[in-house]
Amino acid sequence: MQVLGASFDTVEAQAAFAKKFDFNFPLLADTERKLGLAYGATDDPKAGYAKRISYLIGPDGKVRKAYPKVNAAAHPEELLKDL
Amino acid sequence: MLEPGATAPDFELKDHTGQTRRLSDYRGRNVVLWFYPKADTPG
Repeated sequence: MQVLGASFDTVEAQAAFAKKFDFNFPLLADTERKLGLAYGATDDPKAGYAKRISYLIGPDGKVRKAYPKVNAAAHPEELLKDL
Repeated sequence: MLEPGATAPDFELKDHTGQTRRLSDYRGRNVVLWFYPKADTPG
């Protein structure tokens, strides 16, 4: 399983975030909100913040599950249950 | 939001190391795409 984090921050801000928490997965810099708009993390191309949502995407490239409200602490367990 | 069964839109974005990532790079694997509001600031 591959985890990809995403927000509207710059590459530099993502780099600082990854370093601070030792994240070992890619953090995507969606500065143009294209990803956020495509996946419903925002409705506004100028939004400052992405919604706290998540998706499980299957090996076939299709959405297996959508998580409209992610609680960061409980999410890993929730995901593992759905795999 | 996208519904289960929908094709996940491909993308091409830089990650925190400057490397370009595409969803299609991960075909054949499960992917968790996790959105968060804001990267923490240093310090």
